[in-house]
Order: sequence, then structure tokens, then C-alpha cells
Amino acid sequence: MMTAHEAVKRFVNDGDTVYSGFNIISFALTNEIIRQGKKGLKAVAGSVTPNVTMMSIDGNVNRIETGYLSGTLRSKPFQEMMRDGRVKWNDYTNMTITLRLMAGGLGMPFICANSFLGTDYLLEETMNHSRSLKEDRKREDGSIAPPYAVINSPFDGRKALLYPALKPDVAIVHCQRADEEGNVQVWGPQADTKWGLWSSKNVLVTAEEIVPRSVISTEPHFTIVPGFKVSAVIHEPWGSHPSGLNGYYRADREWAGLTGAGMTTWHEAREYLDEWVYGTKNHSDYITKYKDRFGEDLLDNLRVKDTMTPEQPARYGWR
Amino acid sequence: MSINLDDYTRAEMMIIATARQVRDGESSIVGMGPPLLSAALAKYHHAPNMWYCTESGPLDWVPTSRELPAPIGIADHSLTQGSAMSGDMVDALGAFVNGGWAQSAVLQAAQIDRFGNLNTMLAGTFEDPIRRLPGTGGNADIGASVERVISTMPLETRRFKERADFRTTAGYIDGPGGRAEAGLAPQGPNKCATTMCLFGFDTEDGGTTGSCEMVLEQLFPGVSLEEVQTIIPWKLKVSQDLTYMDPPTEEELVLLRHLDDGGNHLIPGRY
Repeated sequence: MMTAHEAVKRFVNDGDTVYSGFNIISFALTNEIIRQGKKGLKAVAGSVTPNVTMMSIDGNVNRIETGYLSGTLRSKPFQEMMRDGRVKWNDYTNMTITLRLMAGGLGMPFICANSFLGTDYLLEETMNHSRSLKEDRKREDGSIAPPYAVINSPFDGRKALLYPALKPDVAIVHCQRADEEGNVQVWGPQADTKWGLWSSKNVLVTAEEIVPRSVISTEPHFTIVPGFKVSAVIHEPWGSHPSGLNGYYRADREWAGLTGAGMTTWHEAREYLDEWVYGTKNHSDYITKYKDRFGEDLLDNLRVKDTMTPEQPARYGWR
Repeated sequence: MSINLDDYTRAEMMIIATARQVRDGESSIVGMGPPLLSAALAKYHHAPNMWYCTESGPLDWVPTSRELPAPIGIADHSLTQGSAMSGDMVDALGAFVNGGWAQSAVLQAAQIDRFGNLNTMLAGTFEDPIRRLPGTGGNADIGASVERVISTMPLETRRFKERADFRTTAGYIDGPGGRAEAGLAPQGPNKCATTMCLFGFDTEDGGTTGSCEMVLEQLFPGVSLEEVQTIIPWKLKVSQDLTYMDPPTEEELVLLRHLDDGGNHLIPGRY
């Protein structure tokens, strides 16, 4: 157990590759990375979300490998940086990024999928466009490795595509609950989360609730990575606000409009970060400020009220 | 409730036409945006036994209450309601789609070309982009493996190209034999539902024979062949059996408006 401040200070280093996936986003850790001014990070995920736009404005993130820029393009500054090369990237897909993380997690050098056969991803001008991540793909002899490669299968001669394993330095994620040992429990659609966590060297988790080990162990099927894989667990209610958390709160669709977090212009981006990120000490301060400014009701209305209880809970036993 | 059946928008007709391509009993992977709405309409209307799955992991959504509007995103929390499985991307795009269990896909795209390839990457080129788009998401994964693709987009000249500015998702690539040469399985019968008409593709065996070109199959009520041809920048193939699609029924329109919940999907001004 530690604070987001301590976790980011200790485990996020300039130039790191950071997994931040698209279903359960830790805005608490995102904001802390910005506050601490980490630089030159590479964001990877099946889809990256507006938290990556936020981290790009002051250069916390300047490289991306993803299948989808979800909401990030609403920001003109972000588009501008993609155009002039301040942000560099290579394009993949939701599944191929997930499989690359899986390969990293399983200790395999690469993984096979057929997603790009017959498409323009295979063109040289796509793989090595002028803002692509050629530098990151430099081999020891100075030559540039491709971002993926077509082979003929040694088994049946058919065309196949290989994608290199991804092994992020650090993963940031929010979860429904964890215990003090860092056993992370998540439910609802999980997208790329599990493999993002298994593949990353350090895993930083904010949890909506901290529960005793006994809660974890009566429902161990919800644990997506065990405590020994987790470097820091942080208790952070509303930790994924403005995005949602299944069973707890819905995504806040008013947020961007109210705070300027769409960051549509440089001016708006500056104002948003200064007020809502640098202008708050930590996530609970951010939440307090949000309540003070826009009223308690706004957040309260996002809370999920009709939750399901198991009709017949899973039954474990051994005697 | 009584509604005026002549008073519907072209965007509503696009969603209804898309929904009509979804078959009862089939397994389907449903993409972001209008596809989520179209497939929900199909499920509520004529395909209650369709397997409604999205790429982030919800598999076989069976809404137990009809009060909810259609899911907005592929990880919408409401997809948990009545679902058979809450898995992840490896389950959904990996095992379900690439493992060959998805019989159809409902997808949106920014562009489609003469041979049914989709583009969700950019307008222009990487070096000189007119507009960068979000990227493929799961469309490329799906186009490589799914049996039958139903795409949906407004009929506009910037969206219908002889060759897509960027092919993110393989259709028939350059024509007959294209998929086999690229190392992909046959696909079809693919459809593309627009705001004015429904297209199919000229191949009976999933891309080996026939011209594999887009073919106009059905015009929506009140739309002429000439209007459609004016928008399409190549000489359009027209089916010998060209027909008019039936207008929306009252049940379809009422369900659609309920599921769209005042423009959650058909955002006024965008469609």
C-alpha cells in the first residue's frame, strides 16, 4: 500500500513504456504522472483513451503503439503533434496489441495473427512513415526491425504475420477491488487488461475498494493478477473518473464539456491541466474540487444504483 | 403510440436496413457506433437468438429488460445485463472471431471501396493526411476472419472510393482471387447499408469468381438510381434484380427510437 505520488515516483521513469488500457483507466495515476513531469513515455494499449491525450500535452507521452485512438483526436493539439512528429507512433489493432502483450507475458519473442493480410498496413510507407517508431525498433547492428513481418509458415507454407512481444516497463490500471497484498480483482469486460498486467515489469493499481484477503479468496476467479505481480496498490475511490467502473459508476459524459478536458485547443489544454491536474494535490483533492465546483449531485448521479447480487454464488469446497 | 410512418430520416433507414441484414440464430461481432444500434434493433426485432458479442469481451448479450437503450460503447456496462460471458479481447477477437466462430460482423467505417475494403485510418496519406482517423480498433482483425461483413455508412462521395485511401480491413482486395492470394479465407455474402441504398458484392463463392465489385441491390423508397450513381465515383454495377427496399415498419421505427434514446447514436448534425 502506498500513495499514487509514491508509486509514480518510485516506479515510473522517463522514457518508460507504459501500459494504460482502455476499459479500466486509472486517471488517478495518469494525473500523478503529469504532476511529476515524467517525460518521453511510450503509451501502449489495444486502444488508448483521452488520458493519453492529457499526457501528451506537456510531453509526458510522446510515443504510442495502439490499435485505436479513442477520443484522443478531439484534441487539435494532439492532432497537430501527430502531424509534426512531436508524437510518434505505429498502428496496430485491438487484438494484435493484446496478443503482443500476451506474448510478452508468456515470455515468447513474438506471436502470430493474420489481421493485416491483404491490407495497407503491410506497405513500407505505413510501417516506416516519417513519424513512425523506427528509432525504437533499431537493432544492435543499427538496422531497423519491422513493426511486424509476413512469413511463410514453416509447417504448411501458408502466409502468416508475426508481431513482436510487448513488455512494458510499467502498467497503470484501476480495479474494483484489491487487498493489501495487491491481489487485483476485476469484473466486467476486460479487453486487454489481464495481459497488460502480466506483461509489465511493474504493475501500479488504484483500487476502488481495499478488501481483506478473505474477500479475495472466496471469489478467486475475479483475480486477474496475483499480489506478487503487483508493485503498488493504492486506495483511490473514483480512481477512474471521468471514465466508468462496472458496478460502481458510469462514465461522466459531462466532464469534458464542464472542465475543458476535450483539450480542443492549446489554450484549453493549458487551462485544463493547470487547473485540474497541476492545480490539485492528488486524486481525492481533484474529486473534492469537482464536487465543490459542479455540485455533489453530478457525481452521485453517476453511481450505479441497481447492482446484481448472485442468485447462486460460486461454490468452492474441499472436504 | 401512433407515429407518422412517412416521417423518418435517411439515417434511421440506414440503421433499419443494416439491422435487416442480421440473421436470427447467427453469431455476430458488433462494432462501435451505428453497428451497436443496428444489431440491438435486429436482436429486439427479428433476431432474438442472435449472439450479440463485442470485442472487449461481453459474449452473448441477452438484455433482460427492454427499458435500456442500446449500448453506446463496446464495453458499455449494460452489456453485462443478461450476458453469458464477460471475457476479454483474447476471448472475443481471438477465440470467437479469429477462431472462426463469428458468422457475421456489423462494422462502421469512414470509407469503403469498389471491392469492399474498409478504411478507418485516414483520409489522404500518412505523409500528407487530410484527416487522421482513430484507426482500426478491431475491424482489421474481424475482416481477416469473419464469414460475412455487414458494413454501414452514409452514402457520400468522400466515403465511396474506387480505392480506399487506406485499406485497414480486407474485403475482396483487388478483385477475384485477392483474398486467397493474400492468405485469407473466402468471405461473404457481404453487404453495405447506406442512407440511400443497399449494396452487395458480385461474387458467389466468397471472392474467387465474379468481378467481386460492389453491386447496387436495393434502393430505399424515394431514391433513384441516378441519385446513387452521381455520388459513386465509378461506373456502378447494378443488380439485374434491382428492387426497392420496404420502408420502415411501425415496430422498427418505435424500437429504433427507443434504442437510440434521443440521439445517443444518431447524433443530430452528424447523421
